[in-house]
Amino acid sequence: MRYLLAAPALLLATSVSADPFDECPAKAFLTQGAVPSTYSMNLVTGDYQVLAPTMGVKQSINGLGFNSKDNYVYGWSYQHQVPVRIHNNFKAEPLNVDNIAGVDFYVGDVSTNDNKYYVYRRGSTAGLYSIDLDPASDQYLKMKRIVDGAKLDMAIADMAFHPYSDLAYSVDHYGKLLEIDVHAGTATKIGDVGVQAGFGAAYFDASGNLYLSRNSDGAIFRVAIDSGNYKAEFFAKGPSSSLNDGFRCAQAPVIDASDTNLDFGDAPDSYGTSMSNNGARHGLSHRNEYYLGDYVDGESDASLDPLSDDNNGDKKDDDGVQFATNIVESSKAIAVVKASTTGYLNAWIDVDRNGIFDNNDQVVKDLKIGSGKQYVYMPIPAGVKSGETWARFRFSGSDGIQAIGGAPNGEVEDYKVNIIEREATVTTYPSTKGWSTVAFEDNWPHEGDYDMNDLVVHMRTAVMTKSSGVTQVNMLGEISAVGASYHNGFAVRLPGIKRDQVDVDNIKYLINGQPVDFQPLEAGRDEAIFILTYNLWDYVGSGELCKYYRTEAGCGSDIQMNFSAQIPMKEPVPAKLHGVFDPFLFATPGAWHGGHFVTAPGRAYEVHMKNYAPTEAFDQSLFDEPGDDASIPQRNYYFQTAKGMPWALEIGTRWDHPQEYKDIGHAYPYFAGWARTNGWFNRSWYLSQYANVPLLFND
Amino acid sequence: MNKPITAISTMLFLVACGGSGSEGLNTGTDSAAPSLGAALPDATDTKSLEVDKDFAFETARSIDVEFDIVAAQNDEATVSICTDYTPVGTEFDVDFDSCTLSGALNNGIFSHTMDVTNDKESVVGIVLFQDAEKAPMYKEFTVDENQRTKSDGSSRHVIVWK
Repeated sequence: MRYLLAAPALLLATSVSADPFDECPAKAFLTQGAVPSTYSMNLVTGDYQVLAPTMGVKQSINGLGFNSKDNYVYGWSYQHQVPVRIHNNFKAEPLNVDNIAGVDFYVGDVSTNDNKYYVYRRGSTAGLYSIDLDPASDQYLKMKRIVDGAKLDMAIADMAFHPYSDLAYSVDHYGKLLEIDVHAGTATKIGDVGVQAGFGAAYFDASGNLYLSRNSDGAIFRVAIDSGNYKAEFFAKGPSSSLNDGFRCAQAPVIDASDTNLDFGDAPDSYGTSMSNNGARHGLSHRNEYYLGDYVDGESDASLDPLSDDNNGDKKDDDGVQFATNIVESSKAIAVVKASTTGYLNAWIDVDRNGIFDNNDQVVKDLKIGSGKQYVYMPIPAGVKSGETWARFRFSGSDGIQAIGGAPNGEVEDYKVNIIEREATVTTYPSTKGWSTVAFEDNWPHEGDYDMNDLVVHMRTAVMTKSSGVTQVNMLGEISAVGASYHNGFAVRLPGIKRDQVDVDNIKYLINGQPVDFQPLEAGRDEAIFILTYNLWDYVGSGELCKYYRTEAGCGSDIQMNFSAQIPMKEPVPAKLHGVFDPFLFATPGAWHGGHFVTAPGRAYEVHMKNYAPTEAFDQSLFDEPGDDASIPQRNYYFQTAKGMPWALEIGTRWDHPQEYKDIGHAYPYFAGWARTNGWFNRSWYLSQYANVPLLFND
Repeated sequence: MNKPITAISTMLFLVACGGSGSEGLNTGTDSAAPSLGAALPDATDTKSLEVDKDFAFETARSIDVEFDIVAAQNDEATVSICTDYTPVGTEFDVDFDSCTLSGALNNGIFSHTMDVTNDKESVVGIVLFQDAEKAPMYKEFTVDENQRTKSDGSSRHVIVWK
């Protein structure tokens, strides 16, 4: 506490030559230090940088407020013991004010309505005062006492005026939200924000949200004053300081939509992901040294799954965490985390699968990790149910980060994960994050042109098994090409599994992240046949001046259809599933499928991989029709020509398919040697480094 | 509330059991290893090709996993098998996104089947203990086509870790 020995009327010792601020800035400004420096702070993340290492004064300035009437900032100078006007070079100009209180003030703000600077201090010798800032007023720079500080007794460290009302707000040391009528000299407790501690800086935004910066840890909380819900929400992690005050233009929005120096997650928004839901975000502005994996990219707001750039973009920045074990109840899940430098890791797994990261979901709390890779052990509680859920990892130089809200630096990475039953083993094909490809010719029973792009699907499968059998099957995929005029569907049979063994009611099937409006487990069948789509053209388009989807030169596009399926069994089924199971193409019911069919064949027409039998829906008489098919069902030879050539291939990589009309034997010259030797030579023929690249489809 | 108890294993990527090795019998030489020539061969019209009726054009093979790991008999532990990894001195840097199999050891015993694509000639097995103080164990297995005969004479790949 600092008292004046005298109250000098004239304190114009410092010559300040500068201008007001040019605009109403979105960023907040913070002064810290006994000899104050000015910082620019992005309230969205708490990210800050030094704007002015000195302000031309030797002691602190407090009680700051931005005056939108003249675009100057006003504050209380402890050195000069009077208000100061702060110019756009952040230099303080003492004002010719007679300090009738004879004390210093650390609570203050400028009223945007009446162009006055208000300061407050507790105690009967102080109180609430106004200083007129209107040069046209005959009271210009006059200091006037409104009420003494015993009558208006508030344990507050700062206050802020609402942008559109004439009321100021503050939160006292006990967490009570105070609504202050500066004209009447009264304060009303209107609620409890649920957070205690000293808030050294208070700001408003244009939407009537009050932001409070806690001195002890720099945490920034948001109270939506205009909503009537006064509970404080953690908003961001900013700098901490025992000497802390800030100001901003209350008429400006906090969120700058043009700012792409932010990193967001991509989990569904129920987890708090987008800016509008106070999503997890990290500032990348100032030489961000803290990231997971090898890379972090910036964005202005979150792109939620499945539209995340980690699904569709070239650079995938969710590259810092890999699960090294399954996630199983009553055990420790182990992940490998790669960090750029020493920092704090926090992590959550939505183990109760309720769509939010609550306190019980936090599996790593302020764990200090070093640069490079390390195993991180995460306790999974008992009783959690198996199934798909989300995990969030946040890494920063700051500790105390929560599942939502901003952080001044670092990175957030969200992962879709599966909780597995105890004692279950998971086999994935071709691997946890790898892709296989199934490629079809759809001219069966006639030999096609072997460009193998009439349908190209990238797939990944996972099979959960216990000792008694298969408990669940997952499939993930994307339609990579449709180089066919015919309308085809795409399905997968689960060999060895009967339809009535599947827990139909708990199937989860999404196309492009949305539930489908049909039962994907085909009805009326004895076999378990999973229909991914009855008509691929319902989900993909060829684009302008193109005939097909992603097969012709110059006809590239993003992947337009992706799918994910979770297919649980009622009881473990002793089936032996492997690879991509039995994917097949079929004719869209009611759609024309070439001149060799008098009527639309629909589900009676199927094309499978070589020597995979058709399903029960297939019309076996088609094997007897004219054409190039040389199947011998009695000997289990299916879907092959007289020379043993197939209409469909499964290729164990994310295969780059040939362009339209480009023979696979030309696009992949090692293919012929592999086929002629029954797979003994040239086993890696399908890798892109062995392709004749100009003949491949180039996105 | 579940209070997180988190720990980091500071003993990473240590080879705890013998380093690389391979199981099964070598039945012959392979003149067509997955690494193909730098110059592409001449293109061939696919319609001219003729193959066996039984050749299924598969680009992956099934591998039987038969583990009975004595050193893990008395601990809670999991095993993963992955295809992409880099030996770093006596350690392994494993890409766990390349794993084909993951499950729990039962008194050190684990038996299963997995599929591995043909371009992979080897895999690495990783045993991770629930006790973070216990260093992980690693073992490398060669799975190329030369070693596809089980001890019972059947033509299957099998990898064994004892």
